[in-house]
Amino acid sequence: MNLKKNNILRRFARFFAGKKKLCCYLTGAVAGFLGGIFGSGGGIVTALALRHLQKDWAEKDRLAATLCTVLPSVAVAAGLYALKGSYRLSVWLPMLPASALGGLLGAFFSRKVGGKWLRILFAAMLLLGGGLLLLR
Amino acid sequence: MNELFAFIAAIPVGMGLGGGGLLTIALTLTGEGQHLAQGCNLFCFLAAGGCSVWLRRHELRGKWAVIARLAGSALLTAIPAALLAQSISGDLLKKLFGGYMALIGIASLIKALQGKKEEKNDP
Repeated sequence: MNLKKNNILRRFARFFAGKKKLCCYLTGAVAGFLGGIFGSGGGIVTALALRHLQKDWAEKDRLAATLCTVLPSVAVAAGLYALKGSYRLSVWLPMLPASALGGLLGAFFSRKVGGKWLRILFAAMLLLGGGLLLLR
Repeated sequence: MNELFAFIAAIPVGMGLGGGGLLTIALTLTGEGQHLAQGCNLFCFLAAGGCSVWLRRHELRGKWAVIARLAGSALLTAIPAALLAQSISGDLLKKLFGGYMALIGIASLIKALQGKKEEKNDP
């Protein structure tokens, strides 16, 4: 059974090996779908895929590319959410400068600090928050 | 308070870790509707991500072909997905989102811990 499973996995890996372009398109499609339906979360898919697809890139370059990749689909999804009425100007407008400042600080951190503990902290926060939403 | 949430949630976004879901979680837990929280998160992500990309633009040199492939296909699927999200009830979307965030949390935690191990093994 295990041998059969390994064989299938090996065939699967062989099929996608050398098909970087196809993998890029598939990854983008999955990330875009998740980002559109949940309003976030497409980045992690792209980041994980780029780790395997672009091994020669530095980690910080992969993360910058991930962010750049997600932005156009986020812009379109934000427009659609706004068109359907899922926004309130009084809620998100005051948050924009804070977001911009946080984004700049994050970019600074990624260049100057390893940020490993910060990553662990944010991952734990996501896990906790997701769990809370599930239980509510 | 929302501004503080937006600031904290934008830090991992700026780092490229994709922790944009934190703001949605915070807004939902403080009583906002799931659709509204996701919409706000998208706009805040644009601000945080845009600033970060501008600051890190030199890191993107020579990578535009890969970025275009990823972004192009993401753009195509984000449209039907955003429309689908609008047709799902808030409660169901909240449960799906919670489950997805928990999964992402586990994946991010594993990734961060692996990175830590690699760093330790580096001479």
